[in-house]
Amino acid sequence: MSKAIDLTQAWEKHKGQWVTFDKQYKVITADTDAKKAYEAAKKKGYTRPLLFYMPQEDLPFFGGFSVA
Amino acid sequence: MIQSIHTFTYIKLGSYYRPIIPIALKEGNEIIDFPALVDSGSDFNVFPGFLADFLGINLTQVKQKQITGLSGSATSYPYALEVGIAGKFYRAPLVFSYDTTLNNFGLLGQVGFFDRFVVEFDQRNKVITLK
Repeated sequence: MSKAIDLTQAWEKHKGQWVTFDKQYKVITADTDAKKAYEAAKKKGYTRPLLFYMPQEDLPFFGGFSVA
Repeated sequence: MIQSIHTFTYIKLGSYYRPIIPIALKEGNEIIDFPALVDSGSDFNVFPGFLADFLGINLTQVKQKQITGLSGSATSYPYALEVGIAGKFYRAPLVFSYDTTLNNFGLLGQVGFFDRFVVEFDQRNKVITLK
């Protein structure tokens, strides 16, 4: 049984938007502008919301960056 | 070296489970919580440039460096600030980049993360442990 935090529901609802979450990963605000989403959450009284981007597409990610 | 043990669960977004953990970046009195992928393939910690703006950091005075990845090269701005994990902060180097492919989450890499923790990935249970 996976213990992962599943944000798929939030992703399906907010594709292409910045979302702020509370500590239990409940959506507080969403906006296409990160700053607006963040400030709106602060205005609601959340001092440290987690700012999270919901990608448009369900694509795999290939990480790894090095300094040239 | 931070001695305590902390476990995080992977985050599932769509089809993919990823070892993404919430971290905090702190500069002076400004602090922001942001997700970061634990990425042993990254040499450095990499974070989106707009977070520097959130934190009031002026990157125009910072000497640029090129970074390279699978999607090509990008301009970055080396910096050092306080990184918070599970409520504990340590000073670490990172680079900020405005490359849009790096917008979704930060990358926690070899310098400033893997050199500070013993990192265990439990892929079966989707748990990551930092010691």
